[in-house]
Amino acid sequence: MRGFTRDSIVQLLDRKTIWLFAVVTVIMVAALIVVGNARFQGGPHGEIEFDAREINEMLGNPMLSVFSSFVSFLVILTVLLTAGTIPVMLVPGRAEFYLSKPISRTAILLNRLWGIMVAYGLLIVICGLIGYATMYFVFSVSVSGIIYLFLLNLISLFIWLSITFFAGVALGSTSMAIVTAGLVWFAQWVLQARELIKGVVDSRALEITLNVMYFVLPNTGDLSDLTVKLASGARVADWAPLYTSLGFAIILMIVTLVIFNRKNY
Amino acid sequence: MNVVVTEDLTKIYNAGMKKGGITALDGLSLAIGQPEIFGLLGPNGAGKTTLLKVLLGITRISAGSATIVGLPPDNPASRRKVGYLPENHRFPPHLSGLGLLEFTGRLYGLRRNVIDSRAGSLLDMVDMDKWANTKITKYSKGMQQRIGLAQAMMSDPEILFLDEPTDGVDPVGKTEIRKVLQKIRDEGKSILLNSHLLSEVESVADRVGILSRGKLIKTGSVDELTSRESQFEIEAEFGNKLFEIPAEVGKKISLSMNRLIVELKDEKQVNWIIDHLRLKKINIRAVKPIKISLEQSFIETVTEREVDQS
Ligand SMILES: Nc1ncnc2c1ncn2[C@@H]1O[C@H](COP(=O)(O)OP(=O)(O)O)[C@@H](O)[C@H]1O
Ligand SMILES: [Mg+2]
Repeated sequence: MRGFTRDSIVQLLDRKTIWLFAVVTVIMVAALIVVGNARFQGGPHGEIEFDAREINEMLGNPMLSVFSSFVSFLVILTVLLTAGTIPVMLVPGRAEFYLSKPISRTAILLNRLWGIMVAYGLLIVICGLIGYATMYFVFSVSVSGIIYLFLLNLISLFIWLSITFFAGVALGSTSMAIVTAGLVWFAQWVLQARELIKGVVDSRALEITLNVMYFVLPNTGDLSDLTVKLASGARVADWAPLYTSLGFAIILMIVTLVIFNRKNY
Repeated sequence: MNVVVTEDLTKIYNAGMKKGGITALDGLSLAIGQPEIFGLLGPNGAGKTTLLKVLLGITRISAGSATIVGLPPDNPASRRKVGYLPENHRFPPHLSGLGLLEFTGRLYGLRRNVIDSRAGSLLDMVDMDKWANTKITKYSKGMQQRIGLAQAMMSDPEILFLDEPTDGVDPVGKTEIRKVLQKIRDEGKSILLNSHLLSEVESVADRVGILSRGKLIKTGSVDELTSRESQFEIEAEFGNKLFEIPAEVGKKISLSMNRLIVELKDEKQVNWIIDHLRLKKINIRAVKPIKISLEQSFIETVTEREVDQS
């Protein structure tokens, strides 16, 4: 990949980002162990004692959702930490270094994207597996669909990166890239509550706007619900969040490449 | 074959804007052969950096055409045999000197063993092997320029684009960089050297172009640009003998301390002067064409043009 993957790993190690991931993982592991060793009293007079493992089983494995949130958090962390990648690459004096090489601009951007996906993807999977192993030993639950959980989180990483890459190329600033990702994140929360909003505000125009936005913007919230379902082996009825979000990311990447190819540096 | 050819190359920044944009290059035609060091001189804002960026496809052409090794800049393959040291460069800060060379090699698609051997010999050439594993951000300006030169040489280029390579470097560093440029020239590479520092260009360039407001207004060898047309200085033992020059030959500019300065209609008329000096039994010690510094030539060319325009 023309050295971009290796460079992304070098950059990741150089920024000591890895420690941040380590800290988050240690906290997660510690929390799992503490919760896992807790005893809970049940029954009318508190005469029955349960351990965390039994409760988890009775409640239908909520630990899976906790674990899924942990992996999603690693994804968000990655998005924030890498939001500056493109703007920093394209500052005056450095853009020239990349653009003067015998590679197309499209290849530069896609290789960089791939580099981040590999470098941070590996980190997410490693931290995730440490968390999963802890969960397995503490709660003795094995999740058959754990591979889907990682896969869908990597897809979600790609979706968020398409947004920060777009903002990085179009607006050229790290803070704008973070703000853009934040706005999309906020919008998809609003969209999750679209049925509620439609019920409260009776406006045809608003309803149409919400529906259109729901299909245009990525729905990472719905996507994470889908992820948990898929991981726990439940049947997924509606794949729309995956398709629309992935479609959004691919189209946004194409738009980003078109803009990048037309720009003067 | 010419490595770089431009024809009526024009670049207008922000052409879509209401004010009409900034014309940075204005119908520039240029050919650089191999091997030669072509010095592009011009005041700040003349368009030197823009020319390099346009040739490398970093900035898009507005009109006209350009080719490098026969390929247009929008073809990435045109950059395969080109090296570039940007002005005010900021290489990726997480890299060491060696790391920069290795990453550069990979960006050029070179194989591992080629990268290793080339990085080694280039570090040696620019005298940076001791600092190979130190981060670039810790380098002095002179060291940064040297590692920048090594980086530009990674592709074993046929042509090297150097944008103000000695800018901001102290005199010792400048001498070191000049030494490296000589070595590169000795290897038979072509160099397009941008500078607003005339002395820099004068000392290394085979051919010089003067760029002003996006137009190439003069090109020629350093000799051609600096020799004052048909002016000669003649040292001879005039004593108190008179020496007149007829108008059809030229005119006397000054005569003092046995030193005669003449401007001739034609260079060959210098023979007439010598003949007549000998006829008058005046002893000749030296006859030499008058040269002006490149700086003077440059200033004259640029100001002449500005007077023309106003
Ligand atoms: N990215 C840009 N956008 C708009 N104008 C620019 C840009 N880059 C350079 N210019 C203008 O183009 C002209 C030529 O600049 P430049 O090529 O940097 O000159 P030089 O390198 O000879 O100092 C200047 O007037 C400069 O202000
Ligand atoms: Mg310049």
